Amino acid sequence: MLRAGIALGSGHTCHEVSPVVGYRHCGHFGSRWAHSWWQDIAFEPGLELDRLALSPSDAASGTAYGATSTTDYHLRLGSDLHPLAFGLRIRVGYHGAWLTLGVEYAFGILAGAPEIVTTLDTGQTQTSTGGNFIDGAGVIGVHHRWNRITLGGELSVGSRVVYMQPPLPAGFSSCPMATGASACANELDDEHVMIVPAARLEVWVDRQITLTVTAGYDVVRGAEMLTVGFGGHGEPYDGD
Amino acid sequence: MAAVTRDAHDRPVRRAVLVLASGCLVPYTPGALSAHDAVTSVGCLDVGLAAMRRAETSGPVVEISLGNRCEHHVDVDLGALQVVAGNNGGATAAARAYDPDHEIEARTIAARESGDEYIEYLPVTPLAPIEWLDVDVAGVAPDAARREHWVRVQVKP
Repeated sequence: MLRAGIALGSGHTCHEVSPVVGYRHCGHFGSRWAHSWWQDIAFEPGLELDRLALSPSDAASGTAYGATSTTDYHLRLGSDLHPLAFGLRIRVGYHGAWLTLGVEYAFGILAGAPEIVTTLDTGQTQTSTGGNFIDGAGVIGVHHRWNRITLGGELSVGSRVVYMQPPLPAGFSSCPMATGASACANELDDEHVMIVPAARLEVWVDRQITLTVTAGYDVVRGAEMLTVGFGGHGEPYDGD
Repeated sequence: MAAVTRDAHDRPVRRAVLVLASGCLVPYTPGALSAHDAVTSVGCLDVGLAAMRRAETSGPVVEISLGNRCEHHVDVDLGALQVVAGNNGGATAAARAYDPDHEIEARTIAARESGDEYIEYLPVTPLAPIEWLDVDVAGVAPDAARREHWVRVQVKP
């Protein structure tokens, strides 16, 4: 598919006149059959299960506007600083004979936790749950293949943002004179660096498709993650 | 040099379709090269040959189609092809690939991959007409046995 895409792309900028070596204007020797580096690019979407690690010091404050008065609100995390979360993780990068270099992005939702406590200076308190997370990271890894099974170790370094937007108590909004609180953000964010060593298993289930399982542990916060996905490879299975 | 002409292979969309059809998504199956004038196997590699004249070249052009029957990559060295040009009058001459940019080099072809290459061969001493080419394909797969394997293909007008 990539090969076709590049051929199509070249058609817009280069007008080929001959397939013969020495007479071509666009292609080059081997471009229709030989291995090229870009065939080592892999695209890997997957489902992810996480056990996040939030900081007990996460907190936010702001002004809460009521119909007749204003006051300050304070957000803090209550119980369960290690909520479960699930989402999608997408990786794109070089996946060669023994080396992996790539970038990956993930986004997902928190499964019912943590508990977020919202307190107004007037004394009103409300608890809510839920949130979302977004990850972005660079990945480097090495692997070795035995027939159709590949085992490897990886290190990803990036950042994670967990953001929670609890509603304020009834009658209050974080927007002045707001008619709808949904337009206003009272957000509690947890942004932190992730350094995740991970073990990875790949099984070639088809000529250009692998089933992948990756398990990692964030040494900065102690978060855990498990990803199951499929890898689409430009370079087909290269057996023994 | 003769005038350069367009070729159906060079139309971008058709070329893309051909590349896709013969490319990595559709694995090569043995026998797919049977339409060629001569098909031979060297190790894992099936090599289909056809020779023709083309308007843009002064010498005969060999279409070399490659198909890897194995589930692993294979080294391919088209520069190792030995070619002798000849005619039915009995005259012969060694021929060399026209490669002004020194592109021809050993490469690898992926598992179950296929594709083709067009190379013009020019006799090292004057020879006319050139009616056939003898091609030794043994060296095309360096990892396979290197016993000579000559294949004759007629040069089509």
